[in-house]
Amino acid sequence: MSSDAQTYVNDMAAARGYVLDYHKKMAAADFPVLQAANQLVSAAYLDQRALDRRTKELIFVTSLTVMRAAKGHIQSHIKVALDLGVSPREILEAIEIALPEAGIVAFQAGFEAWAEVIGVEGIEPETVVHEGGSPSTTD
Amino acid sequence: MAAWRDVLGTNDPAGLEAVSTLLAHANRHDALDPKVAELITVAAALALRAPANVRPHVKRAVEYGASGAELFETLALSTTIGGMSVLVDGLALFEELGVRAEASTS
Repeated sequence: MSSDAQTYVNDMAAARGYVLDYHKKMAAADFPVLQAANQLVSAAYLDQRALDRRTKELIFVTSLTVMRAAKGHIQSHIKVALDLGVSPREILEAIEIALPEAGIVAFQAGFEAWAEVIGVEGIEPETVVHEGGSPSTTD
Repeated sequence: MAAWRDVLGTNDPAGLEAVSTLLAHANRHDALDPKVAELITVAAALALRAPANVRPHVKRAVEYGASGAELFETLALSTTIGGMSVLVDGLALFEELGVRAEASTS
């Protein structure tokens, strides 16, 4: 990675509060395209305009959920929202908007992302049943 | 075209009741500010390219005090996730609904 790309990744981390694997790998593989993509993101997400940062994070959490983004991507915005003082309940209610909009499958992924970050324990049945798994279960 | 509730209620009353119950619960917001909840729903519907869902939620967002600038910023956020097709469709919907950055819908 060039020193310019390294500096760019460092600056991204400072500005956003997170850096995705995609950012790190694009910085190494095609730095100019990463910069162009981030100009779009900066205009909509990072620059302070009409919406406050808390609202923007909630919009991202729900939009990523309905688009079935990777769990880690959803969680990065959940964590930033929490850092900004958004309550776990507010984030859950935002994710629940995805349920009627995009259906149970999309909702489950967002909910699991939230539950894992928050550390929610489920209520286990008191009878023997098949394991139902979760969106992140691979086997 | 008839409203979806009318069509579903005529053909599947039990289905309408189930969907209505889901909508009532999922749209019950104890913690979320109602304007923020509507902007989130607009963003989700834009990303899903679901114009029938965008229209009522844009109107409700405006009723809760959302400005045109806030709605355009919501569209910009959806565009970063959904791409140019979201932007183009969203701009057409905003035009249809009279959303302007300097003023809200009438």
